Amino acid sequence: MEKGPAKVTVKELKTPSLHAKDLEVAVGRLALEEEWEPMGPTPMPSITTLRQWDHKLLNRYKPFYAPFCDLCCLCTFGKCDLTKGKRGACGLDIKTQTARIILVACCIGAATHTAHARHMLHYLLEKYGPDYPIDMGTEIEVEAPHIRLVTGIKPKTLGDLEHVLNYCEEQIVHCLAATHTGQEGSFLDYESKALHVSMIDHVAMEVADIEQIVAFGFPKGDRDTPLTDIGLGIVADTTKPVILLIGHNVCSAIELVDYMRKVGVGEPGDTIEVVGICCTAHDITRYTNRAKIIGPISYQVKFLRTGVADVAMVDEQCIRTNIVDIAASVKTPVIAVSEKACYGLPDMTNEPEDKIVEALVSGQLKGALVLDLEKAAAVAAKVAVRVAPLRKKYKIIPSEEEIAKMAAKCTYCGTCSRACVNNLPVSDAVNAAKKGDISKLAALHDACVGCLRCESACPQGIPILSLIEAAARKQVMTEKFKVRVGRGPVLDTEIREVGSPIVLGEIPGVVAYVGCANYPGAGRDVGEMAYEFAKRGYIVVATGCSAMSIAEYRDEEGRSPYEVFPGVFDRGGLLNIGSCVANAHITGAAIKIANIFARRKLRANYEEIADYVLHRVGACGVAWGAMSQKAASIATGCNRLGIPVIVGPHGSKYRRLYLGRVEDEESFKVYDARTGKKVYIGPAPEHLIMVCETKEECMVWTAKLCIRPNDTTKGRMIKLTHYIDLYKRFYGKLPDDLPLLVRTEADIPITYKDEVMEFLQSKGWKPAETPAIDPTLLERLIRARG
Amino acid sequence: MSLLTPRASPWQWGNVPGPTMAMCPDNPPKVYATMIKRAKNPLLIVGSLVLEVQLGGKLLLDYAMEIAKRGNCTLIATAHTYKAFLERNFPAVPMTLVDIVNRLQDPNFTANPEKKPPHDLVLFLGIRYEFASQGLATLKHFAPHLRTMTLCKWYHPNASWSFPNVKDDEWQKLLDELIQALS
Repeated sequence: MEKGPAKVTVKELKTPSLHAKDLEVAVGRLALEEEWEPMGPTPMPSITTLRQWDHKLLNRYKPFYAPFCDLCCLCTFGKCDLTKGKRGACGLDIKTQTARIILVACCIGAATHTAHARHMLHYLLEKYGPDYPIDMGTEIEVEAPHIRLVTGIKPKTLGDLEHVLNYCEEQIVHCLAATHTGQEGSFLDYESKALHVSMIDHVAMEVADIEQIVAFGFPKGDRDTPLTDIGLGIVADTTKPVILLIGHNVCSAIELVDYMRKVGVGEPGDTIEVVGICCTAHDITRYTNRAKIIGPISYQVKFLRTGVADVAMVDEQCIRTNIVDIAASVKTPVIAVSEKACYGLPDMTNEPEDKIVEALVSGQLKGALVLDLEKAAAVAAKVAVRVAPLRKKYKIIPSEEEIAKMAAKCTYCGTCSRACVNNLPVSDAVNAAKKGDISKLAALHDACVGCLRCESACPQGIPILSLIEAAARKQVMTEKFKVRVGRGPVLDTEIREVGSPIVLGEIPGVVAYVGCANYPGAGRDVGEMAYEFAKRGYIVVATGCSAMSIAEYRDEEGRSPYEVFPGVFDRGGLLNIGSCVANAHITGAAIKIANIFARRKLRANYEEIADYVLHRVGACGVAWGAMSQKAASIATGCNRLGIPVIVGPHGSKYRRLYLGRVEDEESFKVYDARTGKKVYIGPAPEHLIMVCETKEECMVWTAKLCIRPNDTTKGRMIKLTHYIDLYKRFYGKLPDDLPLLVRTEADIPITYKDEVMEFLQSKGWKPAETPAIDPTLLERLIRARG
Repeated sequence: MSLLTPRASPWQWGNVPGPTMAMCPDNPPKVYATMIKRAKNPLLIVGSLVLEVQLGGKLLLDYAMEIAKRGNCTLIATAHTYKAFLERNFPAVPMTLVDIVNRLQDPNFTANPEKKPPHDLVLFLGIRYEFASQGLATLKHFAPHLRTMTLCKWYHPNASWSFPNVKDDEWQKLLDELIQALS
């Protein structure tokens, strides 16, 4: 691999023609990569290297488009009307334009994680140097499955990660360039590029999480990470200063905790509370579980308006863009620390600490941009201590008595309901509150995503979200749950133990609940689904906002799912993997199954590994509240690797799905690698990315999308047991597609034997001719030609 | 006919797709009934709200059954609604919304083997607003052989024909009148 640049520093050099001091010579990059495995066929693939693989996938899982906008507004030819088969001035039709927008979204997602990793790496290289070792602990040998698989690099130091990011950045630029007017003109090729850049996204996420694991000492796949508090009501003692962290880049939060330790104010919670929202919250609890998690992205405004936070320190991604004004409404100063999100704040980076503190405490500034993280941390702590007694937890959530007064201005025009993301009956609730009934307002709390579109639209200026939170005050105050701290990667040792039962189907599947909090209903629905699958013996993994929302579900005994199920990657485990960037460990686990358990070559061998995962690893992602462009690229990256994904109903606004059609039997044929014959495998899995409308529908499809052609009869029987069981519970009968999924009589679950057999016979079912095959879409893997 | 009046502007303010938006007839029940009766292979797709919404003490599901029966529509039960139809012994086809919409792009597809393809008229009822809107967008662009019609209380710009934005009491009246007109 490329390595370097190697540097030589010369204190003083004297020659007849030259006299130089402190001379540093960089000698470029050296090829120093050890041959840890023979290089595979596709090291550092370009944007077309894996195009054939993409087209194989897209032949079975054809892009399905639901345009979100009928126009193209991207160049000055436009706006172009693309309805009724019309093409725009550049020649694109609506299908291709929609695919183009998907690619833009995936580029944004991949760029965001890559830039996150890059920013963090800058910080860490300065702090620890390029030779800082990547040590993922004794139970992880394959430290970076994505990096190894895609780039062929086995990273050993932080410096090695620079080369990986260089490659990622180049690919993102190429993919984004393809969306320029007059470039790509085929929807399939746009999709191939979306798949490519989304694969890059997973590499970048892996870089980011490895960086923080090794540099900050986060858990390295610990099976039993501690539980920590989560919920809107967790800050019971509001007499202490409270610092709120929002975002995804944990570096500033780490500096804060280190500063607090250094100056003797102790751990979070001792004298100053440190609480977080979104992924920075996950990651700071990976550093110290004395920090607390308020909740997902949707809690930003809800929590800020309670007035509990004395300072808000915001880093990057998924932060409300008018955060400064929201915080100012409760006199909470904001400290922004990322170049990517400056919010128009004055750059105080080079000002003396005390001057910044003074400006924020006095209210002279609503917020400050402080790009020196050490300084930002010190300022945050000092401001919190000084501002807390002054603010006296100033809040703008009204009392119950004030609700009716504020609601009295409502003219019942309905504008708020029409602005609501979730189509909630906001107008009815405000109108009822006007008459003294606040129960309808309180009922909105769970499904309200806190976007403030209702307030923004209200012609009377009613602070609707504040009314909702006031009405739900009793519930909010008791919202205290337990979440397991993010554990990081799945261990190689765990993969060795469960690789076989997963691939053979005896562990019925790995279900990943990931993504944002734009849920169609209550966040705890994710917990209900996770609980159901963990109870059934699936391995359930979670990240980001979804990992938080799982905690909000309570079983009959009042326990959070994390208190019920162990954090091990094994049957019935429920694992909080970590923040968004930790998603790479979920897909990384699938890669490791192919590599560690099945001994498939890993190095630069993407197609073969993806082919293995698609046909053998019964995994399914669920992004129930997917909102961001990052979620688009994460999901599309899963798809290229052969992992199907279900999104919630808002996910339909991503505009594109990859759907199979069971009637098209030809598309569900693969090679049997043993004979070279083409064999029908049934719809396993039927779709690569789809939308479900309700949690019940989602649960049925989750079980179904874990079915793989490689399942043994015992494995298929187990998987069908769960599929049939859930289908019967929610649909009241046997699934119609059983004849396509039962290959032989031995596949039929014993508990449903007679019923299923009778059903199959009524459908004219016949056993498959070749039930046991070695499935592949890659001709080069055929061992003997038939 | 009217376009972009307060009653016939996209229910969610921002959901303005472009220059082609749904027609909203002045007397929807009468116009709808005529079109449904004229259709050769009409399809009614229902979503999760048929299990949740009550109008005048009657479940939206009951309206769906009456419309399907009187309009001679094949009923597609999406989400987890199928069980409720099964319990009422009402013929329905269970399918996800994306699966049925995907197939409806194909003029050779019919969900009812007793009728010849294509489905020439597709009705939507009780599907979450944003999800229905996206399904309708697919059909608007990629299923030129059929027309779509929405029966919910929201104006759906991506449909061919839509009910206007109405409150529950007027919605109930519209549905009752439609059922009456189909008789």
